[in-house]
Amino acid sequence: MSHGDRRARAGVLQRLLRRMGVLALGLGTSALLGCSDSGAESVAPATKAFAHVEGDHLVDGSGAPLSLQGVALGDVYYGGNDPPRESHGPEDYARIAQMGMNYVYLPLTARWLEDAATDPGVVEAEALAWLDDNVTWARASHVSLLLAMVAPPGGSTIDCGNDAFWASAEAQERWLALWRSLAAHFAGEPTILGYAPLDPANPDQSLDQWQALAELATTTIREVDRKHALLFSRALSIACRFDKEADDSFVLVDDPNVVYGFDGLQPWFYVAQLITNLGTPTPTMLGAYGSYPDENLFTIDRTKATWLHASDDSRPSADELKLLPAETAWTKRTFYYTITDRQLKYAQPVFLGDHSAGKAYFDDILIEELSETGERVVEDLDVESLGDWNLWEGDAATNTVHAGAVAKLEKDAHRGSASISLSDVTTPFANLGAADSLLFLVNFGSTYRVTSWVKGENVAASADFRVRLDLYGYSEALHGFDRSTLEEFVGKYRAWGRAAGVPMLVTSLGVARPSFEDGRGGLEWVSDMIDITREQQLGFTYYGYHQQNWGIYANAEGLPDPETVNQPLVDLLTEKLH
Amino acid sequence: MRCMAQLRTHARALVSSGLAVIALGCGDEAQRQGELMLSVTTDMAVPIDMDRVVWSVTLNGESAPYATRTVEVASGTDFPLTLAVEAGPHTRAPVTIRVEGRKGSEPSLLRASREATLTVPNDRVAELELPLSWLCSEPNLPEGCSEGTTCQAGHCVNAAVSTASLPEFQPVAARDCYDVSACLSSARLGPAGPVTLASGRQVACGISGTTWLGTDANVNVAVEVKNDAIGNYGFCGPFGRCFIPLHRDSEPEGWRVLDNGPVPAIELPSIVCEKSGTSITRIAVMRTSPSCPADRGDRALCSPALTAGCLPAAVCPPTSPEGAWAGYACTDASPFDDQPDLIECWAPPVDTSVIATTNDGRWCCLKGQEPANDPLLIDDMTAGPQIKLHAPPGEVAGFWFADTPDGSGQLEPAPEPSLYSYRQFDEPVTPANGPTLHAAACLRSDGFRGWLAMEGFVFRVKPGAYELDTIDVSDYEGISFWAWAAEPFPDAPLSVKVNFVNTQTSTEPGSECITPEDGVSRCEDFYERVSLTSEWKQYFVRWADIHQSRDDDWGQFYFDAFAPEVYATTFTVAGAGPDVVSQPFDFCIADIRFLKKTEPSR
Repeated sequence: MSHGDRRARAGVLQRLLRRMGVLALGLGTSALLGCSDSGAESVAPATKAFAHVEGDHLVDGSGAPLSLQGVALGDVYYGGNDPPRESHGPEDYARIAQMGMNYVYLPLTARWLEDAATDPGVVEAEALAWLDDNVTWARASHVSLLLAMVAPPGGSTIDCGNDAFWASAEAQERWLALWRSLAAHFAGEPTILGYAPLDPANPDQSLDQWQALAELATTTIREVDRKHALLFSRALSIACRFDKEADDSFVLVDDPNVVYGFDGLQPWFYVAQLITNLGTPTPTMLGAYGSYPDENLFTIDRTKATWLHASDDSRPSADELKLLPAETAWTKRTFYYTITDRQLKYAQPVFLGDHSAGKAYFDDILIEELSETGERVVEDLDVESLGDWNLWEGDAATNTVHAGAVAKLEKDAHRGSASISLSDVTTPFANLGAADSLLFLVNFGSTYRVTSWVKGENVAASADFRVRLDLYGYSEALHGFDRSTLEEFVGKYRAWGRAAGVPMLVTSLGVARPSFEDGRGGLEWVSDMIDITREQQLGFTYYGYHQQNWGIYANAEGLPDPETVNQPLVDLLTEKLH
Repeated sequence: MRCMAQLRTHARALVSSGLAVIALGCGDEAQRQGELMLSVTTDMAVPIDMDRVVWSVTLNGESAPYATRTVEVASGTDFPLTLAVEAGPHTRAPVTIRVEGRKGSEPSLLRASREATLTVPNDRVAELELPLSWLCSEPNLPEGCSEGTTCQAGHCVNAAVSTASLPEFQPVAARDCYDVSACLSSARLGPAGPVTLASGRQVACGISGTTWLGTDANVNVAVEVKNDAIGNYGFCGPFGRCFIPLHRDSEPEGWRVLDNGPVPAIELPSIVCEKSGTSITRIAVMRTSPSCPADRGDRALCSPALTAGCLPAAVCPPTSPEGAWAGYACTDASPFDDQPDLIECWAPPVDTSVIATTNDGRWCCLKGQEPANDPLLIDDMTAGPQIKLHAPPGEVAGFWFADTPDGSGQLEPAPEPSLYSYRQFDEPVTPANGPTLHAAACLRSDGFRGWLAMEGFVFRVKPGAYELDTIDVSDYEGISFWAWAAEPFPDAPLSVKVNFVNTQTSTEPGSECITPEDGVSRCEDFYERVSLTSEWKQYFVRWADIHQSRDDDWGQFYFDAFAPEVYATTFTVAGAGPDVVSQPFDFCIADIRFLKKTEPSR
């Protein structure tokens, strides 16, 4: 979007906003009852009685430096139409305070904030009452509360493909109206730390979308509340690309009382290993990644990686590796690829379909390195889980997340009990790329022999189903999965904040339950991350408090059940935060 | 008074036609201005070797020049160029002056450079000579000189110059130029080498004896350029060779007479002997005469009579069959200018272990051989890399070439215009039921950047016009050839596309894949893919089977049927694109023939 386009669009939205502002005040009277600081006329001048930003850091009401250390309450994937009352209760604020935390990140979704059918853009009284309850509970435990919209009107909780919100002016109007009401309601409440109008942001086209909406949200909230800090996080994805550099994913708004945030669930395939990833259109269980730390396990920071080449010029060539229509029984395919370019640092096995009618099965991948020192097995993959393979479609320049291709775990196996199939490939390329845990370093001069087993059903003669290697460059030396991996991840975003002279917050820092088990090092990861955020003068938000996969408490139903507590984690947090 | 920190560049006829003046301080016409007068000379032929001089002045501690200018030179008599640097606030610290002799406009070719770092005198006009010497040119000093040093007589020396050591500038009147070419007509040619003087002192490089030098060493001297190795430089024509004059001078670039009693001896710059056999062949010695007076470097060099043309030179590799090849060293000319019937000319390597990638004016040309009697034989890889079909009157046989279009990196044979040559087998290859192969058209790479690497041949060439012509292949069913590829791993054949460039898919004028309105070409040849293995096999590619891409639509023009008017055939290997080094490969093609139609032709 050009600057001209953005101005034009912002102008329309501003006009609509003014109209909706009136609407909100008119229709939302009941929601605003009891609010001492509602409406434009009651906007108070900025005061230092509230926690606020001073220069590049946050201070509390007394002006003392405030280092946020908190936890996200509730489940960001919560999809109910009522407030998430089973997420937590008053006693949970006390538990949080006992751990040494000083703030709570409270996820909001438009689904329970408003009744989209009858009163769009209006905060329901029931929702507001529950939020008021939270303020009361938080106040009693001396913790602050950050209200964070994780799913706006028209949007969803998935990490990209949230297009309905980004494409809908009406949804955006409702989103702004909700924030105007919420900010007006809580404008005089010092227990409220601030507002995160949309977190995370996943614009479907460009960062300009997020920039425009962040500015509008700031304007909207500042009309009724000049005291509370705002939180704007970097776009987690843009057009479903998650590998954007800091400069290409942060927005900067013209307001002195803003904290900037970034997601700290990294590396994703470690923290989320062995859970069902709900942040995608087709939830799949992620495969095992490994333990932290592990010097033999290298990790990828996508912003430092560059796709350079696919092994189509292998020996035999891609043309000779295609699955043939007659190959309906398991068929062995072998190709060789020699690393002749020092730019190539690591490889990713990929199952490929290219404009391919029919269905192809993939299983039993053996990757061997042939070098002057001999032969060694690099990977021996018995394909048993879809979670180790990520489906994306399109080419590198125009990829879309999902255009109709189907990846499926099949019981028909060449080895073990399952294989993966790829079908309905209508886009130029459907790629099932191996997860980070299956990437492998390549050595200059070595040849990689890739043996796979494939078979087809109704495969057209023109179809191109095969296994290939994608080869990547990396802007720095790759090293083991250790503290420096986490430091690099945090450091690159912190550097953006230092350059901008703004305070920053890690909006979610955490490890899913499986990484705490079987020696996978979840506690070490959390401990190191907290140390790193302190060294980098960052606030952090542990994710999460009560969630089946991610929670300190993990029961699926009811209020947090002490039977499910991750006590070692509680002990660690308590020790580190006091 | 207006403070000047600016550059004045204009001609001021003091000692030559070209004078540039730079002021680096506040001019004060009332006071005597200290000045450095630079005098730029050259021993190379102008404008053949050098047609412009670039000079720059860099202030102390700066990395970028304070001023830089280019002066075009059209004749040897434009030298010496003079440049005055006036003293001023900027010259209290040493300045670095650099002059470069160049040929051609951007990108111009650097022939030689000279640099000096010194202070500008405040109270006098000192003269600094900066010769642009051929002994400092790329063939003699390929690695150049490091920062702070400059080339003098072929060696790198400290660029710092003591201003106190410089003489007062004395304008001299212009004299007739030194006609090197004319003097060379009476030259004797011979080797230079170490000389032992009567005193017993050894001189590293020189000439002695009355046979060469007479009784008084009253001679002029030049070095003969080894143009079959480095191309033409200097004054070409006499004896069919090229020469660079050496002045009699006490400066390191010159030669000087030694005290050796009755047997005259002269000392030459040591680089002359060091480069003997690589860039210099012999020494030319000419007796002085009224028409060829002694050259002491105080006269400009006349421009040579021969400004463009080719000299026969032994530039072709020794493996090139005698009679089929001819070598030339050319100056601003092509062998085709005089001999349009040549099949093709390539730039040969300086030596067989180095692949030539640039054209330095040396050409190895294929004169052609008798076509085969077998009308089906396209090429059996005998003699030179030419097509063995009969060419119609007014045309000559086609030739082979290798290329990585828009690519780079290692390829053997190197891409055009480098010499294409067949690979000769030490032991003949005798595939089962096949011919005995003594040579093949092979292409090999350890890895290149680009979308494809190719070798191939054109069928016919219109001599002189450098235009290709088509051949009608409708009387044939296709082609056959024998082929092999290195297979570094078992069952890892090499995929090679056999492409036929025809009237539909070439980029020749009138081709059907060129959009008439805007001239944009979206051309893809008809092809068939073959998998070559480490076993020599015969392959058959039939017109009925060749096609354009079936599943890679990039907007190319598609044609319903293959038009049998063919310009060329190429054998291509896919690369990894412009940014990544490709897979290594090595393959050979041999004994290419048309397949006779089994049915009557149309």
